[in-house]
Amino acid sequence: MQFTPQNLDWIAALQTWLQVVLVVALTGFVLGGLLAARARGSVVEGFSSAIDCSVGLFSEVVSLSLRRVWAITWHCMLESLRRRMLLAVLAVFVVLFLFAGWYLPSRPTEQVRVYVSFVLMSSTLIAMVASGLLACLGLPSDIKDQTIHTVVTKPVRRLEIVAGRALGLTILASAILVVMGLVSYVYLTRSVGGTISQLQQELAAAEQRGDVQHKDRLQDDIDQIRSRLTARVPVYSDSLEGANTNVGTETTYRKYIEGNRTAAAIWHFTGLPVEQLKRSGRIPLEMTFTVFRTTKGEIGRGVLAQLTFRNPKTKYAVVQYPFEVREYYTNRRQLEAGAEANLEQLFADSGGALDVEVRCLSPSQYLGMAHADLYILLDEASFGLNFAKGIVGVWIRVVLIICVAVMFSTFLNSYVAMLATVAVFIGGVSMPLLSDIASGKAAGGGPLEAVHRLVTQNNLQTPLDRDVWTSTLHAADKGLQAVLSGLTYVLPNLRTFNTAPLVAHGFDIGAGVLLTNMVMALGYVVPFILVGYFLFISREIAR
Amino acid sequence: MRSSFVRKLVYMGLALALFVVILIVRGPIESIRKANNLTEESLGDVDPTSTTMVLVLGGLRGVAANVLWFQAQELQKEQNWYAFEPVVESIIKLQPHFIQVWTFQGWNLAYNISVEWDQVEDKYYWIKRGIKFLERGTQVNGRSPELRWDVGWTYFHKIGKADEAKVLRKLYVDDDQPEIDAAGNPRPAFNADGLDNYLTSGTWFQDAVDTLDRFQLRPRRQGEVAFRSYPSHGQTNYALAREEEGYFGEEAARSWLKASEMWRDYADHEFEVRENLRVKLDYSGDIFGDLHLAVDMYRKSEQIQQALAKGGEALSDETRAEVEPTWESLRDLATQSLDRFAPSVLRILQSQASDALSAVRSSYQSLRDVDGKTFTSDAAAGKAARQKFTEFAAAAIKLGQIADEELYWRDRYATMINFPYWKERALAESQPETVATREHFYKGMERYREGDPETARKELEQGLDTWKNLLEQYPHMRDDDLTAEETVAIVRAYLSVRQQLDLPTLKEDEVPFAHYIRRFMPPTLTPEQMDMMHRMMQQKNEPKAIEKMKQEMMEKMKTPVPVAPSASGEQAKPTADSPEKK
Repeated sequence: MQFTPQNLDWIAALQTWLQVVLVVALTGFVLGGLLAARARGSVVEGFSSAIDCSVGLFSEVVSLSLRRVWAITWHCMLESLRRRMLLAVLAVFVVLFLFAGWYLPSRPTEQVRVYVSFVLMSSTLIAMVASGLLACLGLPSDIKDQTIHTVVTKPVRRLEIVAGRALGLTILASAILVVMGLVSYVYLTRSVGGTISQLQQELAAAEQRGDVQHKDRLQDDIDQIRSRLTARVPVYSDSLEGANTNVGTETTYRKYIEGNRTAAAIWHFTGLPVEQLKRSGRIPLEMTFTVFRTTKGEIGRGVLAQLTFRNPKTKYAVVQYPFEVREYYTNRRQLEAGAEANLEQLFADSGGALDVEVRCLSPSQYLGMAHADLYILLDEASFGLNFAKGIVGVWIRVVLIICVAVMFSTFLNSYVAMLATVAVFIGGVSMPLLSDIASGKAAGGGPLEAVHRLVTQNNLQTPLDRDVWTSTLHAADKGLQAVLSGLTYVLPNLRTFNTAPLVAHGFDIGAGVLLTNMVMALGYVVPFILVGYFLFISREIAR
Repeated sequence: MRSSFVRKLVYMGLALALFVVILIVRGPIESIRKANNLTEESLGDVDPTSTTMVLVLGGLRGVAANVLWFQAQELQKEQNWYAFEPVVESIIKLQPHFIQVWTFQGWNLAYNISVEWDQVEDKYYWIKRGIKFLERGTQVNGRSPELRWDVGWTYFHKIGKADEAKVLRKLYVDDDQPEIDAAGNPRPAFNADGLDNYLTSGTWFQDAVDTLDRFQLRPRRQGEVAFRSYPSHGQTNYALAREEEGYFGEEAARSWLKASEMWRDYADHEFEVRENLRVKLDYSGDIFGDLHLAVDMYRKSEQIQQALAKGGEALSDETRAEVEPTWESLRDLATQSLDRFAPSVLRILQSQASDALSAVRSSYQSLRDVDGKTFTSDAAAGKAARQKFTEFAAAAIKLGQIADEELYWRDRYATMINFPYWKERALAESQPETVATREHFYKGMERYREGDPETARKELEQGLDTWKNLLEQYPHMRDDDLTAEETVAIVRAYLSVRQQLDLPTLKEDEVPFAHYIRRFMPPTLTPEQMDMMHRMMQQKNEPKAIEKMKQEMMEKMKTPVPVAPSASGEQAKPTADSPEKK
């Protein structure tokens, strides 16, 4: 898993959010004013009605009645149940799980990883599709059937209608996810349990046969599977220093250190819970390194690495015995207090700081590492709880899509709203690509240049001939890239909210991560609801 | 309202009419599909999941496949192997009959991804994934010999010829226990019978060849001559590998004998060069003899014809001197061969050969008793004979050209895959003396590596003694570079062992297989030759000057190459095997 631990800069994030909201609000205000001016035939009247609408929002918010919101919510839920959408969702869900095994061939040791990814992904898609469809069908059907008039004349405020619909669908989606989450968890644990018992039977048979090699392999598989059913609470270092060599791999996520040289990778930890570590009497480390060989070396032997634990203040160091690195596996090592190391001295005057140094000992070979590849395993949380947190992560993404769908449904018909929601979803999951295109980092230039390259069968790297046509394309692309750049601020980056890989790889989703995701999601939800409100009031319904 | 009702009626009527058309047309389309083997069941096992996905996606299948390919590439770049596998599975569900997808991804798993892992056991796992992937492809594509060949090749090359071959081969042989899949279900063992990888590869190669024959196909990615030789290579490499691992005796002899039989069977296949021309890679001595005789007759007839064309009706003395002995020689050939030309020869030649032979025989009747003097005389008999000869020559040249073409293509195909070498080698290696010699070499090299020079010397000496005589019986094997390379390695070990034992250095003519050693020694350049090379490099744009310098250098490079200094320490003199003597 490629993962870079980051601390969110809240101040900067808030500033950016405020700027974007302001820009969107101003843009909306100007557009609204112009449209109103066109309808009324006077710019002054147009902008004055825009001001009225804007000010009207405050009175909407102040007069918001939770009772009325709940009434709309309840109505929305009943309406959705009557559409029997839930039955269809559950039917699809059951069919998918019945035949999931056909699609998931893998090593037994990777069963947990693959199954978790599969169940979380399928739950996301099913819940999103179901909720999105319901959202897109709800308001437009009411408007088309004119039943909306009976609602708005109650009187129910427009904001209450929009918020109530979003809340109703959110509650339904939550119920769907709770059911799917429980079923998935049971399915997962039963499947994995079944695999473990099968492997144990094979292990017993191998023991009886005296097949030591096969027995060791099976035991290793069982240990690997069990180790996946966990939620590791990693403590990452603040920084990684020393791994600088690029061996020519396409991605630069990992850098390398050369073997049998003075090169070393050093992870600088600060703020460690020293007392806790001293009490436990050990420092458990987990590492995932890659290997790059320049020669075959000794076939059948792995590349050797060596750990050194060092107090950055006093320079007291403990050098461990070398070990063979298993590439792509989680290599576990720990420093035991006592004969091996004196933890008191290791943390003396350090203020919780610790340097962990890794060296490669095999000549002509390289070890590759990234910042997140080495961490201290402080604790292991419950897999079940972590899985539930994963479902919460799914829930956040579903809520975002619901709000987007409700927003579009306020002014578009059902089908167009669905298309628009799908477009937002695709944009959300393709955000890295969109950002690259918007910033000009993507190979092949902007959208129009890419089309030109396709038609003329030029690859992405060939520089184009400079002529009037290509210059025009470049100029037009700049405009499109500016639009895309704006969209990247407005569209939710659904990948950021995706915590499924953490669950699949057995890492705990920390409270901080969940909180960050929720706050970020709120930063999208509120503006979507408000935009939905403004679009709704722009329709002349029962005025 | 009425117009809306009428419109609905029209639409319903159209839909019904189209439905009837579909029912009528469906039958003939199905028949055409079956006749051209385009139905799912005719292509291979039907995968309901795949078929459903293909039908459901409709026209978007191509888009979905493209997206999945991009995703697979990105995941491979990120080294996210376990997310990569399901994506490849999805691709194959959408494109089950696109052979190149199976070939590419199978190769990708077995070669590219396996090499990304450091531990040999992990490499083996991914090679196995690649092989299983390809094997599934063969089930869905029953008419694809290429996929079967790919399975065989992966067993043969990736397991058998990798740097980690020793470990991989052992892992494969030991992989005889049932497996547990990701759903916890037991699956049959990958190699339940504990077979050698080369034997398994041979089975798959044979299956590929059988698929060719069953469906009368031609291989698309490589020539048929090479394609059909692989089952024999599988068995040959099995025999080789077992000897390299130290297994000799009857087992080795049997393996090599089987290889020899397989090469013989391979040579028995008739390869189609073009319409009306089929060749085998091996014929009996009689057939070869007759073919060469026909070619000789053709050459001599042509020579006489050309000579006669230069002179007029009256032959010059020079022409007579050339034609007379040639005619005598041709007459001898024709008298010997024409009657006994074997029917089996005609069977393998093109259909016109039979007519040509009849024409040669009938026209020769009147020339049989004409001797050289009469043939070249200016008398009426001579002129009549030369006139009759025209008819004979035409037929003999036709027959000879057919035979020549047969021999040409046979040689060309045989040389393409070094068939004479492999055929001879398999036969030679199956002999008990050869097996015993190999065993001596193996033990000698093992002792040499373990630091037991005395035993090594004895074993190597025994082996080298018999090796010389053996190679004399098998000229193709003797002259091949592979044999030379192996022998040089053994001789070098032998010389090193002698040095370790402080034995006297051998003189140049005492060193066994010195000519092999000379073959692999690089030519050393004198300072003058180096200077000439530099001047040549500067004359880049003067091709004539370069050509002249090249010729000068070739002359000067024919210097004797020292083999081993003699006991007296004098420089060795050029011997019969020196390049300059050739």
